Formats: sequence, structure tokens, C-alpha cells
Amino acid sequence: MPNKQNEQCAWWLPQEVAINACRHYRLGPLHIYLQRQSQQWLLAHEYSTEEVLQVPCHAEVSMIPVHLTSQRYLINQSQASYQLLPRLMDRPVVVKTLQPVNLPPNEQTTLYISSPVTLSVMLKGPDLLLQNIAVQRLSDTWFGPSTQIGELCYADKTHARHAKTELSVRPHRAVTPVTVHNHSTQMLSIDKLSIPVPFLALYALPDGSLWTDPVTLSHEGLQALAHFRTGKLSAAEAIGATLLSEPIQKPEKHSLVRAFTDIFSD
Amino acid sequence: MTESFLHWLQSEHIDHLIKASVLLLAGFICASMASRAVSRFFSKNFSQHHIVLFKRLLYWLIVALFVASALKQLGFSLSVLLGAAGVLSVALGFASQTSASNLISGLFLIGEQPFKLGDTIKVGNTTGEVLSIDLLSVKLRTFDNLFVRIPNETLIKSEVTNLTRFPIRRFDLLLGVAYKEQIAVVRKVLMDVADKNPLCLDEPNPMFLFLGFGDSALNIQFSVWSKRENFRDLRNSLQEEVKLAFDKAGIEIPFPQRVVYLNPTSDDKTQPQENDKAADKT
Repeated sequence: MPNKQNEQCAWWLPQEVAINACRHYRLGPLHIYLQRQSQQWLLAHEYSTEEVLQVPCHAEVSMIPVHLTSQRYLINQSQASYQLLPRLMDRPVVVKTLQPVNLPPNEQTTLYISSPVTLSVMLKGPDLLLQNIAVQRLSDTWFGPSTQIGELCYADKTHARHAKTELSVRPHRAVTPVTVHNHSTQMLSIDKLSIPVPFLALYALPDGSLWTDPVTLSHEGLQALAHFRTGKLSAAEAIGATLLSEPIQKPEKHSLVRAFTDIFSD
Repeated sequence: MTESFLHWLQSEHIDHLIKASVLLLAGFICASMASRAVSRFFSKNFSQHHIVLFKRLLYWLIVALFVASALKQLGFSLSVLLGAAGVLSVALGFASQTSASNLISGLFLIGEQPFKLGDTIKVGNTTGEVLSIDLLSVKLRTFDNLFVRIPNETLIKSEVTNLTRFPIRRFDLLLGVAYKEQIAVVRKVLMDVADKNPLCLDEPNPMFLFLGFGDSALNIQFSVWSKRENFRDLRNSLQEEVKLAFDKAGIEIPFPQRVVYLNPTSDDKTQPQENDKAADKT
């Protein structure tokens, strides 16, 4: 889709709506319906399986579809303004590469990996969080060498693209540039990669896409954990970028994360 | 009468009595303050179970010290009291062997820590959340909201399963499919169901096991993993989805059945024959 349309559809910006108006958002598989009444807000959502082709711009609809159960938020005088604020997931996202990816020793590469965001539906002035809704319901997964050691993550699939131009426009997903260094003497097979999204900040770029801080993962020999470092957006990307959400967790300096699978895995 | 009471009031006894009362009061106050301080200072480094134990130990130790001081203030000889307590404890020990056994078992349980407060455990036929771990017994709240007290001796002697020790759990679905079905197709249908169910963990991978040839069906075990908290939801949703997927793919889950062949050459006097197929919905 042309970027020009996306610019008009910065869906994360605060919006105003008249009394009794109802709005529909389509973000990936998620449909959100918001209706303002004089003394209450109604909120409903559902997931669909059909492919999305249109840009995620809001549309005025007459009412929330009757088959949906809407949540009612009773307010003495309903605020006119609301915001769908995207945030990154609260657990790392483990992405499975659709094709096997191998990195020879002493090589490095940057992969662009996207992960779906969670929406905080908020009323503005004063700020009031109504609900957090995941744009896409990801499956849970366990990431670790055994069923006792590891952590719960979300599972997703990726093409592991290594050129920005190949990225498809999916404004409901945030792109993370992941630079992988293979400092070992053996080929590094990347069939699964854990992206520590709780440590990353989320930005909106003027072209309508969502980006996170870049991540650098260094694989050292036979160590099960990888050195992990977060960076900042490049100068070109940072121009016009808006910070949408801070990292959920602060990483420690020289921190280690369980980033690659097949190392000491059972 | 009044005079004698006034005389008693002026005597030293009332002085000792007041001092003893003050000591007792101070003891209870100090004990409760100390036990609160324990929970505040040790909450980060120790488990809830240990904190509760420390609190109780400290509380009763301080109370006991102050009671002893109060008794001494009243003129009791502590050495005589302790001697009497020793004799009494031997007598009590013989009389309460079960309690002593539970007490010792409780100490072992506290040391071994097979479960902690808030865990869900299974002892015999009882499954419930651990409410408290005391020196004599463990208290559980079952899922139908019953309060169950299990003596520590029973816990030491019997098999205890902690259902919430590890963050993920495996659910084993045992099912049978008809002999006419293709195993590869069944495997694909089951894997697709697991893939689409968000409660089913992607890793560890769902496991398909062909257990063997049963009397009426090909026996299969399909094992999937889930987050501990989602186990019950997964068990419900997965079985429903497997049934729907089998119906859609035309895969039959057979009833136990027996085929009886009639031998035409046999004697007419043989027993009356059953029909060729009898279905038993057990």
C-alpha cells in the first residue's frame, strides 16, 4: 500500500469522536469497535482469519455488530478523545524461521524480524486505560534447554528478511533489526530466535510503520546464552520517529539472554 | 474482710503481680512486633513457608521467655518448674506418640520442602491448594472448596504429587482410530489442531505416539504441552477441537466391537448364534 495513505492513517494518534458515533479499526486479524455515548463508552473486538489487504485506517460504522459482546465503561460525562496506543509484548517472542538460516563463523548479519503489538485502548483527558488487546493471539512456547530451565515466550514465524526493501507493509507489527554476530568457530544454525521485546522501546516512523530499538546478539562458542545489547534507531530512522512506549523491563549491562535454540537443547 | 484485702494490697504481692502482668503484656507486644519485623525483612530472601515458620517460632520463643520471667517475678522457682515440665513431657510423649510422629514428620517436611504455600498438590485421592504447613499437619483447600487437614506423618509415608512445581505441564490425550484410517493423515490432523490452539505450546513440540494395535482401534497417544495455568483450558479445548477436526476429516473413533463368524458346517445343536457384530458402548 502506498505510504501516502499510511501517513493519513497514523492510527496510534489520539482521535476525537462525536457522541453516538461508532468507529471500526482493522489491524491485522483484529477488529476493534469503539462507540461513544453520552455517559458510557462501548468497546468490542474480534479476530478474523481472512487476509488483510486494506490499510488499518478507522471507518465510521453505524453500530457495533450485534454478534459481539461489548464491554461498557460507565462515565459521568464521556471524554471525546481516545487513543489506541501500541505496546510491545510482555514476554520475549520466539520466531521460527520459515527456511533454515545458517551463519558461518566470524560473520554477522542483520535480520529484520517483526512481532505483533498489543493495543492499549485509552480515553484521553484524563487518561483512562480501558483494555489491553493483543493485535494477534500468539501461541505460547517454552524456550530453554529443558522443561525445567527456560522461560515462557510467545511463538511466531518469520521470513528472517535481511533487506529493508523486502519488508512488507504490516502496520500492526513492529520491526526489530536483529544483528547476529557469530564469534564461534562453528556454523550457527538459526532456526529459532528469541527476540527480547520487553527490553525494547517502540517507535512510530512517519511512513506509518512501527519499529523497535535494534538488538545485537553475539554468539560465543558453546555458551548456551548469547550476549545481548540494545541500540538506538539509526540517525536516518530517528528523524521524525515518535516514541510510543518505553521498554517494559530495563536490561542489565552486559546481559545474557537465551537467544538461539539448538545449543545444549535436549 | 475489707481490711484484710487492703492489707494484701499494701503487701509486696500486688507489686509482683503488677510487674508480672506488665512483663506478660510487654512480651506479647514484643513478640508480635518481632514476628512482623521478620516478615518485613525476610520477605525478599526467604519463601513464604519459611517466613511463616520463623514468625511462629520467634513469637512463641519471646512469649515463653517473658512468661518465664513473669513466673519468676511471682516467686515461682524456674528450676523446679522445668524439672516438672521434663517429667511431664516424658509422660506426654508416651501418651501422644502420634502427635510426636507428626511433629518429627513436620520437621522433615519443612527441611525437604516438597511443596510450598500456594502450591497445588495431590495426596492419595485429594488434590488441593496448600493453605498452611504446620508442625502437625498440612491444610489444603480442595477445588470444590473443602478444607482438608492431612497429618504430616501421612505426607511422609505416601506419594505426594506437586502439580505446580514446574511452569509447564504435559497433557496426554489417549485415543483410538479405526483400522481403516491412514496414520499419516491422523498425525497431520492432530498436529494442525495443536498448531492452531494458542494454549498449546509450540516448544516442546507436540508428540505423536502410535501405541499399537488395539482390539478395536489403532491406539494413539498425542501429548501436548501447556502453561501450568492453562492446563485445564487446554485439556477442554484440545479434546473438543480434536473431535471437530476428526469429524471434518472423516476420521472414525470406533466403539469397542466384536466380530462373531458363524461356521455353516457345525452341528445344528450348537448354541444360538449372535449376530455378526455387536457394539458395546462402554
